[in-house]
Amino acid sequence: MSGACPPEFGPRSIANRDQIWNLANTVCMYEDKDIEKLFGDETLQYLKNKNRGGASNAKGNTYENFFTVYQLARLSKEVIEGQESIICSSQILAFVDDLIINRETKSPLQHYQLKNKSSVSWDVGEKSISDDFKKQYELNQSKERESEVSLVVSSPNLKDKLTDEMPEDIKLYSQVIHFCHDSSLMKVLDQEPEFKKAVEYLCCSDNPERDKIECAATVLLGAWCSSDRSNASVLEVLTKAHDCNPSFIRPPLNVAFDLGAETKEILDSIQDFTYNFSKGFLHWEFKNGLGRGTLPYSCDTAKFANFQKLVRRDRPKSFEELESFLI
Amino acid sequence: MKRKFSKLFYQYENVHDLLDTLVNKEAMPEVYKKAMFEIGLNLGNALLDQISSDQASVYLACTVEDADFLAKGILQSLKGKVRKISFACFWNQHFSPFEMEDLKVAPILRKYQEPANEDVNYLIIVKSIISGACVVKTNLSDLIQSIEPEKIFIVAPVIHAQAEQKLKNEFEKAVYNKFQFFYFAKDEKRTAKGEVLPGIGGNVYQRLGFEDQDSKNRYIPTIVKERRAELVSKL
Repeated sequence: MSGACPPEFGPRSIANRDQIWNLANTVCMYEDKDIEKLFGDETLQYLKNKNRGGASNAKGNTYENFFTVYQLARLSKEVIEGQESIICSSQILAFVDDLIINRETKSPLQHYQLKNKSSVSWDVGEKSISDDFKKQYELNQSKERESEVSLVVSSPNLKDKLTDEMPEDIKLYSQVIHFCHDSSLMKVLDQEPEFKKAVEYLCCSDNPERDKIECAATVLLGAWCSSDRSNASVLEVLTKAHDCNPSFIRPPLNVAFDLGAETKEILDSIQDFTYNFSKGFLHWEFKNGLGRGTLPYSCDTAKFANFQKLVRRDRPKSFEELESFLI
Repeated sequence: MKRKFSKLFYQYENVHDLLDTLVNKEAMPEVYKKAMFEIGLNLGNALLDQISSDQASVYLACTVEDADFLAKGILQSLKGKVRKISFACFWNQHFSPFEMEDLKVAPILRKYQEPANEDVNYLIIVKSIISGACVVKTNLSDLIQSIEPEKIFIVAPVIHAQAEQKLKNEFEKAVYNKFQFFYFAKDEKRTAKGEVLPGIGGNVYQRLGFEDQDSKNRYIPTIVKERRAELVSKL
């Protein structure tokens, strides 16, 4: 049993949250005039049409969104522990725009083009994938930014084929990645161990149960889809996801909580009841697992303060008297 | 609102009236609860017909709202007819994050789970209605982490036309090959929010007398209290 605030909450504080969110406004956005100046009006119109086509997607369960949730989860450790400011953009005016990750002004911009098809080729000439990659690189160069441009495909064989056939002139900054696709987010998580590991990091305990992993990933997906996807800070999306109740997502900000001595004394005195804190959540067990649960809200919330208040008010002496508060 | 009745439906005389009671929005919670209990008795008898031996070990799992009514009826029918019955109850929060209708999740907030202690022949998953199968999938996925049953019985008075396939799609062949579905009626119509029509007459939480999902999750079923007290006294 423990009443102490666990250290793994992460070092970030509310004080620098606003500063980080403000960085979202400094993201490298591409303007019409830059594109027109570099590539001409015809290319600008092509990009605008491409952007209109992609921006109409309002569904959550898509290949592009699953991949973005993977990236958000993967980046979360750097955001929570490393205090990195990272902006994600999607479907903006750019040549490779399914996902753009903008870390810091001097880091390369990471662009992802996703293709959930059995047949994909680089092709040559205007509007081909290879030409889009090349132009994206040139556009970023004009803004003094390096590029890492990735083509993401759902077939491992296709990934090998596209890697072999990659045009020489884009090889320096391009790669092909395999990321599987399936009918549900959980099925993708089962097939992508690194994705699952990243979501486990975000989850409410060190060895989260399957339902908690699914909940955390699905809430993160919902938070991304309901955000301004043209310019969203990873911290902002994580905070929005965590604030959903339940989310079973660890608090992204370092907010201290206090399990009062009186509450601790009451909980400690209940026979066969054990509890611990992990990643900001209270996990409990009764009689070696006969009953088990996790409070659906984290310990930095008003709901947890209210839980403590109710425990102190009613002073339960047995599990039977306590259990109605464990929700 | 097309409804198809199963072969099972025609084996039990009173099921027609009981399903009508569920659909009747005028039926008060006490009447509704009793109908669910009696449907459970019938479903329990149907299950017994498929359980090959009185030496079988059975594990029955349900959600909190069904525990004292539908599941209780099934347990009553099985009592004394099989060698052992263990029981689990789940408190799920079923929701669409950020109101996105194509996203559904039903995490387990808490659970009561009796130890299996031995091989389980039949795992019975009970639910008042199976629509998108999200809750059943979550609870079954959790249970098979610790129980390896020979057969899995999925039991509900009413299911949606696509529920069987949806549930199968969520599991590996080795798991869904163990499935056997027990239901009385299959409905085709479902609203965007996932309510099956006529189904079981609307939101089961409200029909049973709970205010909403939070209210049903604060409920501790009598059956859980009784079984737990008995088990704790033996431990």
